[in-house]
Amino acid sequence: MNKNLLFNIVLGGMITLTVPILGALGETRLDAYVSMFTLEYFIATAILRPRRRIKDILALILLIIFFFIVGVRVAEILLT
Amino acid sequence: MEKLYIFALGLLIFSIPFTIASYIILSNIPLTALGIGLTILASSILLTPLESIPPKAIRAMLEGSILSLEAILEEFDISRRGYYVRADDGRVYLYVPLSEDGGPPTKRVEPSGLIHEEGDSRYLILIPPASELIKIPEISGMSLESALTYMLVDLMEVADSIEVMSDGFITVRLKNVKSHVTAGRFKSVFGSLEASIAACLTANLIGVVKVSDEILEENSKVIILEVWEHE
Repeated sequence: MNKNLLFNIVLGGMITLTVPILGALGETRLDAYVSMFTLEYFIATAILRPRRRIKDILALILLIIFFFIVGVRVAEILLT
Repeated sequence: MEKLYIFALGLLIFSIPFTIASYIILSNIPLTALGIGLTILASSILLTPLESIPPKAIRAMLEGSILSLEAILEEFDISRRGYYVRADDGRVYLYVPLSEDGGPPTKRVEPSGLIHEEGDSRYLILIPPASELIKIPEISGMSLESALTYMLVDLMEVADSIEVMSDGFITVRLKNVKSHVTAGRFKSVFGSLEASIAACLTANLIGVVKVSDEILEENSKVIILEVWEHE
């Protein structure tokens, strides 16, 4: 199978599994979901290495959001 | 536009207002997360190229180019193992000794004809099948192992995985090799197709290369490259 297509199928599968699982666990923090999506995206990218038409700006955006989330959490711990 | 792109665009157009509505109107975090997830998925599909050349086609093109080289080698009655040398123009050439093998050429100048003379040695200059392929921007800045993995596993799917070891010689172990070309002269001069590609990449990154040996094992192939590093 074309690994680019496989990557999108795997990513779609992981995202649609993550939401009901975390929802069933009663997770109400949006950053937890986004962090999981970021992690899943990078794991799938590292394993399947899909080709990109341009630079992988999605990875960059997800990484920035992830660092922001982590930064906010660290700041919360340090300031309380 | 391809159907998949239309689907992704539709998904993106749906998911953004869905996310906003889930967060502001419904105040439902799992639904908001689902909307974000769909946005990520739609963006990922839009970033993925659809018209990539299938690995089998790349392999077939390279294997096809072998046949014309095989005819040239047959015509010149050449069967000595050649040296992969990167010239000043950034292209890798194969220098095949025409008389006794006196070692690799020492000059790195851009060859101007089919024959290169250096002292008593004469070399036939040929362009290996992967000579242009190794210039693709995707592998620039990569290490040898990463570049070989990209070229042989990802791009051409010649093998399932590779492993590179360096101990004076460079040893490349390929698992489950899929390329099968029966061009005897080509193999004795260039090495097998995968060995030729590995040698081209090594010559581009490290120095002058000769395919020293190729050993077939149960599920793998071991390619041993002799390297003379760039001065």
